[in-house]
Amino acid sequence: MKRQRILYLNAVSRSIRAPIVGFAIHEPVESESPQIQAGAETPYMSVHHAVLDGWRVVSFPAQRAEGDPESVGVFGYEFILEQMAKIDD
Amino acid sequence: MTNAGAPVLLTDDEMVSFIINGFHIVEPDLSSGFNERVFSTLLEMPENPGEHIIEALPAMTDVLGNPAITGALTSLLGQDYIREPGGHIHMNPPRTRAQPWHQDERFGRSHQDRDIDHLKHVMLMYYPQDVTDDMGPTVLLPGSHRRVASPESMVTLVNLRGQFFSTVKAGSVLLTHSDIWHAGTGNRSDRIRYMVKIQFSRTQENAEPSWSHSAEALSEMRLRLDSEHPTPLSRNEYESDHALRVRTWNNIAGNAAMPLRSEAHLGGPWPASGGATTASRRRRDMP
Repeated sequence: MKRQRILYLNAVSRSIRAPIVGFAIHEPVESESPQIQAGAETPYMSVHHAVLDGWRVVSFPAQRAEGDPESVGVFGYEFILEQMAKIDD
Repeated sequence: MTNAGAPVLLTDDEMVSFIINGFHIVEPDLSSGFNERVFSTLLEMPENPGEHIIEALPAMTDVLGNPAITGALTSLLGQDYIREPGGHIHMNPPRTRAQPWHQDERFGRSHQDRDIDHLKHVMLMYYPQDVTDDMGPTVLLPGSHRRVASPESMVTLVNLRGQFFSTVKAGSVLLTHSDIWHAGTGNRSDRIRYMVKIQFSRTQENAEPSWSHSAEALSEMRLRLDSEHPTPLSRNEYESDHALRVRTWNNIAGNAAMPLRSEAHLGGPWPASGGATTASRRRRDMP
């Protein structure tokens, strides 16, 4: 059967060409959540590179509201992508 | 062991690094066998002493009184810094999982109440044993002490570009801005990792730098504050982060303050094409 792999990519801007600054992959199997690890390699340089590899964007980051012009907020802009994968039961 | 003598103050360079990154590592000169004795005492503790760290672990006074530590704390928090009550002894046994990214909460303070342009509180973390990358080192996100983010907004974040794993030698002391994003990571080794955490606070504003300052270094320090970025920033964040750094320096430097606005980015060689200034070239190069 096919199940949904989920990939969170945090890009430095809302552009799908922007460099990636954070990521997490959730595999569609019974498992613990992904965790911070030394030596973890970013799987893609940009959201565009992930799309080229067959991922589909299912959530785009919203335009951030203009708030305190001096504040620096959350790290990166979050894109959520999916890829359907065949899983052996 | 060198607990006698004047505090060893930080340099301008070290202070600017702290402002930019939000942490500094000290390796105090402790007596032979000191860290091993502390480790053994911790192993024999029947339970976590909670906030009564000094009573349960009197040897910590040797760490806190070491000139390298008093000097670093004086530099960061001024002459009359104080130790806050409480603290915590963290034990990370084998086969644990990483904590999520977080900022420490202080009682009565919301996530929006951060010292994003000042240095009022410092966390001290002492490691009595070597910490290798498989022993669950504390991970930090350099520069994140200026980020105002709710705990909810961090829940999907896992591995971040620029994350720094504090693998250290036994006896090392990690000093961080109290608002830095951090987490204990999973211990994949067969050894226990201890860390003693105590918080310190500023009690008064500086009339002059409380570190080893040289007026001649000011322009070089300004250049570093203007140009060094430990993690990538969005277009909007560049100007905000830059202003917050300079304001942090000014808030702790007393009479050694610098102008908020720098004209340095307008100087330099003419661009090869177009009319871009250094600052706008920097923005243009970032998608």
